[in-house]
Order: sequence, then C-alpha cells, then structure tokens
Amino acid sequence: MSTEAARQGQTKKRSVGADLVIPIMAAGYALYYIYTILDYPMEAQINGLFLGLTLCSLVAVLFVRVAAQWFRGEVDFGMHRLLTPLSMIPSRLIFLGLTIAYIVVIPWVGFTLTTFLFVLGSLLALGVRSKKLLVVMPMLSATGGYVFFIAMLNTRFPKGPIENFLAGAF
Amino acid sequence: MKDFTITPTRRSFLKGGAMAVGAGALSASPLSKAWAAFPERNISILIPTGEGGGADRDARMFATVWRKYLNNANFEYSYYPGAAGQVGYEFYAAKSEPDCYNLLFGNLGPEIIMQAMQKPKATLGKDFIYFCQTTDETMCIFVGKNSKITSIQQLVDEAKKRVVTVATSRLPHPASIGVLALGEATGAKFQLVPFGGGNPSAMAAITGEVDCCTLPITNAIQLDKEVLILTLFSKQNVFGEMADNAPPVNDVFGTKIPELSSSRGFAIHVKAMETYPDRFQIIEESVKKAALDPEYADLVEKAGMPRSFVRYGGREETVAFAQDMLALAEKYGSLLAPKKK
Amino acid sequence: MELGADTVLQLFLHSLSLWWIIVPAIFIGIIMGAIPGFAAHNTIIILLPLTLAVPVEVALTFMVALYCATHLGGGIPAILMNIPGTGGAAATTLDGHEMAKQGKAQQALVLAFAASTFGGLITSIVTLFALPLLSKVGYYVHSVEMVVIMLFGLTLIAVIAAEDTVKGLIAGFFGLMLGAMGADHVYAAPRGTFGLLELFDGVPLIPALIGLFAISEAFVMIEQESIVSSKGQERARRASWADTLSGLRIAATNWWHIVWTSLIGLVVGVLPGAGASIGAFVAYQQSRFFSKTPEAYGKGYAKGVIAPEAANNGVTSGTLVPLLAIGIPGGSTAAVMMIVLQFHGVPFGPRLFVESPILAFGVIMSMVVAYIFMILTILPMARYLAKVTVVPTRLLAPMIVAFTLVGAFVPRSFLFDLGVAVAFGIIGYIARKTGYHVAAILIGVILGPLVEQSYIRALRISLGDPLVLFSSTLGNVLWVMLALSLAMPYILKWLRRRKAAQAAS
Repeated sequence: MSTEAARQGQTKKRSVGADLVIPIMAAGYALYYIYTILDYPMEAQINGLFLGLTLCSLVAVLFVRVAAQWFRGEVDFGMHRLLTPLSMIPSRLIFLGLTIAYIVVIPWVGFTLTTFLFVLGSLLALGVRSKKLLVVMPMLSATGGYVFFIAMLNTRFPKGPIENFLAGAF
Repeated sequence: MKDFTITPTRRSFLKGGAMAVGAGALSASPLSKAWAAFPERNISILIPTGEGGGADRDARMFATVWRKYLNNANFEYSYYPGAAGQVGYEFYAAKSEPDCYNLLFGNLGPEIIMQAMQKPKATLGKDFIYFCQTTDETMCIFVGKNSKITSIQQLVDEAKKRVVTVATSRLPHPASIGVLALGEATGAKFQLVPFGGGNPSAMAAITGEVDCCTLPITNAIQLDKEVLILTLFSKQNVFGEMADNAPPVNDVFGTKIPELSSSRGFAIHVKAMETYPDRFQIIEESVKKAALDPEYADLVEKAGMPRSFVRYGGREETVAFAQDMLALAEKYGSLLAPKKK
Repeated sequence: MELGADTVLQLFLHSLSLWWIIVPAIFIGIIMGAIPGFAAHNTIIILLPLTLAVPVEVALTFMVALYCATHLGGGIPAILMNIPGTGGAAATTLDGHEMAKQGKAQQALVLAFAASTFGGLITSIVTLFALPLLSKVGYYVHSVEMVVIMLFGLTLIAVIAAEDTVKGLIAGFFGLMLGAMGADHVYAAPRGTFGLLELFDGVPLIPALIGLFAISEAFVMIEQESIVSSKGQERARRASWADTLSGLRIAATNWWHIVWTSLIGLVVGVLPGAGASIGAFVAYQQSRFFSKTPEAYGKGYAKGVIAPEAANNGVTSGTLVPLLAIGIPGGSTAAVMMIVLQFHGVPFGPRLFVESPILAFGVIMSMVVAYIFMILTILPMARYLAKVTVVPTRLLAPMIVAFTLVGAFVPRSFLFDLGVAVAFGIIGYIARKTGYHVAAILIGVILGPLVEQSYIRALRISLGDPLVLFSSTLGNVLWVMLALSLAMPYILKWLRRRKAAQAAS
C-alpha cells in the first residue's frame, strides 16, 4: 500500500467511540437491575432477567463487531459524532446549564419568573441579539404561561414572588 | 433488599394511637381564638390510588357535603398510585407539609395490610394516623353472569377438584385474605391473580378470564346483572336482593373466618395534630358532621351504592379497625407472601 | 330503543344542538392534546368542577368532544417538531416529522387531521350500531392475546432497527429495560429504582417522552437554522391553500387505509388496559406490513401518518365501549367520565341504555358530531400551523424546553419529574447523535411494562406454565400472524432476488 493510500485509509477511519455510550449505559443499567432482583421470587424476576440478559448479549455483539473493525483499522474511538458541530459546544453547554438551572431554581423563584429568565438566557446563549425579540419572547412566554397554566387551569406549578404578588392582588 | 416477612408493627402503632387520642384530648381545650378562620386556603387531599377509582369518587363525594361544615373550603386532589398504595403514603409522610391543610384519603383495609407486608418508611402511628372512617363495606366473591358456577358451595367444590383462579385488585387486600382463609378452612385450592384495580379485576371475571373475583361489595352491586354475588365475608347479608341474597361465608361452611371489610377514611400527619390541635379539632368535628348528614347518604344512594355503605367512625373506632386489620395481616400474611426460592 | 333512521336523525340533530359546548371542547382538547403532559383525563379532572355543575348530558358531550380532540391535537407537535403531544402520537413522528423536514408540514397536518377525524367518525358510527358486538371482543381477548397484540407493537422496534439491526435492538431493549423499572405486579417489590420513591411506580411516561423527544430535539435542532432542511425551505415558504387541498387529495385516495387502520384502533380501544399508544403502534406496524412499499415508511410516507392518527382516534371510540356496554371503564379517561355519571346519579353499563337511552346513544352520537365540527374548524388552520417549521430554531428551542418541562410536571406534580425529563433528554440526545432511534427506546418504555403485566397474569392463571402463551386458538392465530409479519420482508426479499437471478440467467 502506498503512503498516499495509507493516509487516505487513515482519514477515512470512522469514529465509533460515541456509539458506545448508549450500549454502556444500557448494559450498566441492566446489570444494576439484575442485581436489585436477585433475592426476589420468580414472578418478579423473569422479565428483568430475560430483558437484561438479551440486552447484555446485544451489547456484547456490538462490542465484538467494533473490536473486529478496530483490529482491521477501520475505526477509532473518537467522540466526534457526539460533539460535532464543534462550534456549537459552548452555546449547547450553556443551554444545558440553563435547562438544569431551570429545574433547580423553579421551586424558589416560581414558574413565571423562572420561565422569563430561562427564555431570556437561552435566547442570548443561542445568539439572538434583536432587542425586540429579547423583550417580547420572554415576556410572552412568562405571561402566557401564567395566564394559561396558573390563572386558568390552576395547575400546581411552583409559586414564587410573582405568583404570590398576583394572587394577593386579585 | 426487600424481604417479605411481617414484623410486628402493632406495638409502635398502638403507641401512636394512644398518642393520637392524647393529642385529641389536648385539642379539646380551646387553645386559640384564631382557629375559627381555618381553613384559609384550599385543603389538599392525597389519594394513594389512581384517578377515577373508588377512593377518588368517595373523596369527592364526601367533600361536596363536608365543605358546608368547613368554612366553604375548596379541595384539591392529587393521585399517587403505585406499589399497593405505598407510594402515596410515603409521599404524604415525607413531602407534604404537616399543617392540617394536607390530608390523605385512603382505603384502610388494603393499605394497612400493605403497611404490614411492605414496611414502608411512612409508619402508621408515628408519621400519620387515621382519624376517621366515612364508609365501610364488606368483601365478597362474585362470578360473571355467564359463569356456570351459581353458588359458593359449587365454587368451593370445584376448587377441591382443581385450582380455581380468583381475580383480586392486589394481594395485600382483605378480599384476598378472605379467599385464602376460605381455602385454608375448606381445603379448596385458590390461585389469586392481581389485576391492579377493581375495574380490571371485575372485567376479568365477567369475560371469563378467571373463574371468579373478590372485591369490596359495592363494586359488585354497581355491576348489577353483569355479575352474580356468591358470598359475603360478613355476619349477615344486609343488602338482600341488591347482593343477590348471597349467604355469609361462615353460614355456608360453618367456618370461623373473621369479618372482612374495608373502610375508607382520612389520615393526617401526627405532627400536624400536635402542632395545630385547633385546626385538627375543626377538621375532626366537621368530618363527623358531614358524615352524619343525610345529604351525604343521599349522594351515595344516588350514585348507585347502598345507604349502609356510609358508616362514620371516630378516631377510637378507626384505630380499633386498624388494629384488627394489622392482626389479620399478621395471621394471614404468610399466605400472601411469596414462597422463597 | 330501536336504532331506526328516525331515531338516528333525532339523535344527530339533538347532538348538533349542543354545538355551543362541542366547539369550545374541541378547541380546549386540541390545545391540551398538543401540549405534552396534558391529556384528556387530567384535563377533564382539572375541569371537573365545571362538568359537575352543568346538566349531565352537557357534561358528557363536553368530555367526549374534548377526549376526541386531544388525540387530534397530539399529532400537531409530533409532525411539526418531532414532539408527540400524547403517547398515542409517538408513532406519528416517524413519518409526520420527516414530511415536515421536507417542507411538507402542511400536507402532513392535513393528512393527520383527515385521518383523525374520518377515522374517528367511522369508528364512532360503527360503535353506534355495533356496540353489543364490540363489547364481546373483551370476552375473547385475555391476557395471553394481549401479550401477542402488544408484541405486534414491539416488532416496530425491529422495523426501526432495519438500518442497523444490533443498534436498533439495543435501543429497543434499553427502552424495555427502563420500562421494567418499578414495583413488580404481584409483590410490589421495587426493581432498579435507585432507591428513589418517585420511580417506584415505574418510569413516568410523560417525562420520559418529553425528554426523549422534546428536550433532545431542542438540543439537536439548534445545530440547524430551521427544522426544515435547506431543500425544503423554499417549499415550506411557498405553502398555500393548494397544499391543504393536495393533503386532502392524498387522504381521499387512501380512504380505505383510513378505514381499516381506524378499525384496528377501535378494537384495541375496546380491550381493557390497552390505550392509544398501543393502537397507534400496532396500526403503523400493520400498515407497513400490508404495504407494497414498506421501505418508504419512516422517510415521510403519507400512509405512515394516516395509520397512527386514524388508529389513535379509533381508540377513543373503543374505550367507551366497556363503560357503556358493561359498566366498567376501559381507561383512565372513561374512569373519570364514570365519576361524573355517578355524581349525577346516572347509572352506567346496560342500565344506561334501559333507563336513559337518549343519553347512552347520545354519548356516541356526540362523538360523531364532534368529529364533523373538528374537520371544519381544524383543517383551515393547517396552513398557519405549518409556519412553525420555518421559525428559526434558536427561537423555538428555548420555548420547547420551557413549556415541555412544565408538561413533565403536570401528570404527577413532582419537581422530580423535571429531572427525569432532563435525564431522558440527555439519553435521547446521545441516542440521536449516535444512531440509536429514540422512538425504539420509547416503544420499549411504553409497551414493556404492559407486556410484563399481561404475561405475569397469564402465568399466574396457568399456575406457572410458560406454555400458556400458546394455549388459546385466537392467541395462536395472532402468533402466526406475528411470525409472518416478521418473516415476510425477508421472504419477499428472497423471492425478488430469486426472480432477478432467474431473469438474469
């Protein structure tokens, strides 16, 4: 094989590292599940054992397949598929951070204010710079959400300063 | 890991019961003048079974009369079904505020047995206490209208020849205990099949998937001609024609199976009773008034259930019911637990 | 009461006179159905004070119209944003959203609306005349048969796995494994719950659905400017009334498809414990099985939208059958309706037909009328709804996350469930990026616990004999059909290859 062809072969290598994340999670959960049912009577075990063992076998088949491909030099264990497009990583991480912050903060700040702040923050993180949009969208989602979910449907969303103030006012 | 044996929870329970009665005596003295304003907001009722089930229906029905005696309060309902009621009780004990604004409306019979069998973290007597019952109904065995079996004697004879399948909503349930006790007393072989609720259990008997079904009697009475009631786990059949004139089980076989019934009623955090005795007093008194109001019995009758379904019981009576149920769970629990591998 | 032409006309006109309650019910139903987290039963519970305050006939008409409309509403976000509004619309995403990505959102919506309303209309008319017959279905389909019926739905995993069998099956079995979480059906012993009480009753379905579809979709969609592919952009912008008409034309040419897939839904709906999601999955699977072009499914194929949408509305007609014919509600929505009947002191089951026949048949007729109103009100909206697909994703994504997280909270009011949605969102995102189909995971999560429940019941009834699964005639017929539907694609492929080889030689 010429060096040219070898280089080409290398650049053509598929990254399959990311493909293994779901199987590892799945097999991990299956093993944990089986561990939790070890002492149980047959009727509580049968389903979990069947599913867990089948799942682990499938994962084993995939691992064997990937190992064979790796031996043949067709694949590497890069995580490209999961991370691309790389330029989006910062905004994606901020968006994820905001999503997690939303569920952490909502019990204290309440539905309306949290929604307002979350939508505003996410729009900024995703690159929206129009002042009009940055004002209108968060306002609309917060007030629309309040009127529909809390005022009209009386759903028990977490209440914060705004909900308490409005409840007092009306 | 979970094990399936029953540990005696009676002692702790009795202690809790005594404490509850004590707290009640304390609350009898007017501690505060502000209590007249209670409740200032909606009362939340947690139901440890699904929406649209019997407990949901009864809680709502009761509340329509109760609010008259409770400052015209409004009620909010939430449903926490799962693991024979365990999920609901644990949530009630751990996650809802013990301020007398949060109550639990449960099925006392099956859920007390569940507590004995499954040992949830939420402990009866320590974390919460049943303070009243609003309704009470006996358990029964019935078949679908197309069944060849027409009497309890015939069913038991059949079960001596082969294993007879019995639909039940869940294993930890007075109805299930009744069937197993009948099997033990007569030598009949029954296989309980849990269907997860009254409706699917009854359906299984009606469609012939199982030989018969065991449930609280109002389920069967409401199904009218679709089912034939074979026997009741009570001293007498006070329902007569409505319950197909079915004989009480002990009358037929001369057995001594205990009366098996299930009450529905309210539970409250022990801590709420202690912290807000004034609020609790209002709740307790207003529940009693509502349960004894003929308007409530009228509503029950209108919904197609017998008037005798309504049976108010105060704190002491409810505590006694719970004790009996725990004793039953201890006696028959081994029949419900799985055979170890 | 005899159902002669006169009576039917009288009933129809009577239901028509209740238009003033049907129309708002339809709008509320469509909106609530479109928001993941809300479904007919919890909306009816929220509005219970209203339904208890009005006369029983008005209350029932309102609930029935709302119920039918929620299943139509659920398909809208499934098509536009790959987010099923209800579990019954999960199968709609497979082809509906593919169509939207190609700029054909409007046609897809029109197809879904036409299939839902005509499917619903047909099944409600069938129910009106064949109620006694339909109620017999439950007498033949027991736990054993239910296991096989649900396996039909599960085989969709294999279909989805067609591209990469091992990865597809891993996704499906991962879903099944997650669906197996929670207390077992006999002894209430917790399994795989991480010791968390919130997971005792199993994986909460709506938060899982929201995570797998909505949250992960929001994170994937921000990588592109808009939902519609660059090729479809032009097409989506040009969308006009002509697209609505073209959607209607496609629906009309597939009228037979609407009929039989909606009947599948009807039969599944009659079965106790089976719901819209099973109906839709089974209909999609059957639609593909009988198709001459099975390979077109999953790539934006009209029949792939029609089948699940016709079926999930067929289910709504079916679920009322056990309540009306026997007096036992077949699902949670019917159970809540029963409470309303009881409050009003109205008997249900066969007694309803004896004591208040107008009310009994009126319930079904109000479905018929609701569907007629529905097609008139919703169809013109397709054109405007479809515009969502050209809204820039950086504006859509935050709204999707904010409002669907709220939806995750609704069914159980646990803040914990918001966390479940985010966790499933992360699983869904990784799955999408690495070639594991989220629909396969969801099918497992939805159907897994139901199959187990039926299987364990069958096992207990047979005193532990695993061969019970092959003990009934109907069950065995279903097994053969299942085996055929799995083997058929391979047989056809082999036949085609042989034909080609023969032609070549």
